[in-house]
Amino acid sequence: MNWPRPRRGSLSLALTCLAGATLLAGCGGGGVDSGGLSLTDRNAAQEAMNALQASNIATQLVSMSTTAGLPPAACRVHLESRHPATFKVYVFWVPFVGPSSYTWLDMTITKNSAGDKFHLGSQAATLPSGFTLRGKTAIPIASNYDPLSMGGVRQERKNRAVLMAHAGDAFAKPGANCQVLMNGYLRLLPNA
Amino acid sequence: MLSARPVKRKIALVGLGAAVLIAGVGAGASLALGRGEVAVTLPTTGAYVPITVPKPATGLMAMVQGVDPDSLSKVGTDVASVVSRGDGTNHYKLTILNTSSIGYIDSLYWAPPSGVTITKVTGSSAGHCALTGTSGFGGKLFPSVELYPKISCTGLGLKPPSCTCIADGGKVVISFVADTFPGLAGAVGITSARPILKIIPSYQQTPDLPLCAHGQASTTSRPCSSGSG
Repeated sequence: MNWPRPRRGSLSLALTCLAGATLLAGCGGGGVDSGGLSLTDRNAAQEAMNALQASNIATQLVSMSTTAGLPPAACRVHLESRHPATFKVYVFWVPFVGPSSYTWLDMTITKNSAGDKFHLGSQAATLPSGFTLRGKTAIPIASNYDPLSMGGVRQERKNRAVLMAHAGDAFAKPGANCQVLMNGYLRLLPNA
Repeated sequence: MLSARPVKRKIALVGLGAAVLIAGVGAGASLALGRGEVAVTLPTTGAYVPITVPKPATGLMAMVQGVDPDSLSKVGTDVASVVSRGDGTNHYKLTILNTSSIGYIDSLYWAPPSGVTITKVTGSSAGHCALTGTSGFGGKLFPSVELYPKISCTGLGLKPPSCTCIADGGKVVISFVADTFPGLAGAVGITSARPILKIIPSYQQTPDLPLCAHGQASTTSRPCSSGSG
């Protein structure tokens, strides 16, 4: 029996199906989310943060929040490398009251916490006597009773500028937001 | 001559079948290799809820209620500082001790009490300390004018105490010249620190010593307590 020669269209369709299947077969759970993290990456990040649970870091995360008078304004996890799985975690606090300082905790962590690195920084949110800087001009925001948020849009912009100035590549992909919990532990949040 | 349509359909079906087979084999291999993992999660209730901080009373209401404003601006007890007289007129020494539960203190600043002006920093026992302030207030006419002069130190590496109940943390002694005796200790702000993993206790956890027997003296190798009240 002579088979007629297949048309170009049907051959393309078959080849496309094969190529797609091969790609899908290679995935097997290795797909990434909108933040560029795979399930393996997310699990490694959560396990690295879990390794800090019984340490001084959990205590300090609660202490910093209490001192600031507010939960962290930002908490971010960035995947630095996959072999070994290494993550940068950046937590930033804006103080509730003007005379307090901006504070940030910068961590480089893995599942083996023995090699982790930590850095705590702070910067005055206002000058002494309750002034904040708008460019080079000192602007009184209020008395010591007033929240920093009363500084309005300009203060919000300054908060954001200081937050980003010390973040490094914390907000780059692959990464995701995190959350400080009441017990000082860290939870990795899903990417939208 | 055979019709082309059934043949085209057969080829497409063969391709689709092969696709399903390959995908299935791939998925199976992934599972076999342990890549069918589940997400690592934490509980979501009790102490695992997101942290919240009680908001203090502010503004007029706080003033009316007589709330101490110092209780709003929370500060830590990370350092202890003392000012003493140095050698020479208007020469003073500032001693700052790490009493923190954080870890190593690497840089900090000391702002003098109101009414005191620091004119020069003459030395420090650790790191590098210098007179700094906030610039820009003099405009282009007076570019060197600085407000709120304070002493800033970097590269300190002050070690943490073994217990926040023991004053054995790292310390720095800073010598400076001021126009008048500062008296009160001023305000210290930590600008850089290195938290450590080990929890620094707030009380000593040594076991009770046994009572000394009659005539027994406590030694290093056999410590005991006299038990006298």
